[in-house]
Amino acid sequence: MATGSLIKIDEEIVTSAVASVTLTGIDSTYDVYMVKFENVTPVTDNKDLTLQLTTSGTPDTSSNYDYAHKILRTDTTFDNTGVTNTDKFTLVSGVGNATGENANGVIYCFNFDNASEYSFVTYEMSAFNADLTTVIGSTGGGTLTVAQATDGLYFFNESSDNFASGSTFTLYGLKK
Amino acid sequence: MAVGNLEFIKSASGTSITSLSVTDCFSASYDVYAIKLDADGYNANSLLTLQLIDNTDTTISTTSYDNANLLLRTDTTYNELRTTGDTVLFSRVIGFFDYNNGAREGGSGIIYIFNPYTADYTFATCQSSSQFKTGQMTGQKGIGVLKTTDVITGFHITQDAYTATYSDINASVFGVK
Repeated sequence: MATGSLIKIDEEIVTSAVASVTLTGIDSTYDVYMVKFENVTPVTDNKDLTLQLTTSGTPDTSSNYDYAHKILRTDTTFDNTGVTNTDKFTLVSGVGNATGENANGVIYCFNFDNASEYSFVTYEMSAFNADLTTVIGSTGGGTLTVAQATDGLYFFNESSDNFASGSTFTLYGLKK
Repeated sequence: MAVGNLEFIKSASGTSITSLSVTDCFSASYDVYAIKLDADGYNANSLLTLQLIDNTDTTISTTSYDNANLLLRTDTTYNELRTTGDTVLFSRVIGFFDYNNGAREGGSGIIYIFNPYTADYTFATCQSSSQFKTGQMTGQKGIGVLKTTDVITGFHITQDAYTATYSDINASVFGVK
């Protein structure tokens, strides 16, 4: 049997509204991990999709997140975002909840299991924002500037809004 | 033994071609797909575009696409391209090619397609790199959506306002299980 090199580790499919989704299982088995998320929809319209990393399964809520990305959008000039010393990665802003509005993307995770290095992510995503007139996405990267091992990803919405049913998050390891 | 979750579905290629269609590659088996696309050896200026094909094998060329693309380039300021009501999902799926000033090395890209086989909007991201003329590189980061509820089963690589012949175009489709 041919064996591949992208190994599924964890998957969370929201079946009833929840306030957060945690993907677990990052350890020393792989050096690089990938997350895909699809059909991610807030229950309430116009909410930012945000991310924290977990240590021993608990979200790191410290103000040690730095990130920078380009915001691609169909309605106006693209924006540059650069944030330091904040308490989360804001992956994309203003995701809508009407029919057809949701967020989809891919995140790569580097150095998570290395306790002496920072944890790095890169990401790209495509979403419809709250007015169903603007396709918006971000492409960039971020760092949790703490030399510690991280073992998972904790997704949540702005203002503690819930994820709607059908929102799907999957974690893979890239085989060494 | 762990079996991988990036599963090869099919590939298509052609030589001395101006376009390439890949049909019956999206199904209910996967929600997310990765497409690897390579193009090389063009004989005139060209932009490669991407359209989606529905489950009647019809290429969707209506003004139902929105997209935004950042064209990164080594020679000058980056370009921002954004279109609503476009007839293509991506207007420069692998940058662009300047034949008259070109090394004609072509380019490559990865496109992710999200939920094509559902009766919902189809989202996509793409990134690519190419040598568009001698000594100059371009890359692209793009997002796009098809704003119809068609069930999508394939895609079509073609050109917008150009008719260059490529020595080869190759596409491979993978399902992200």
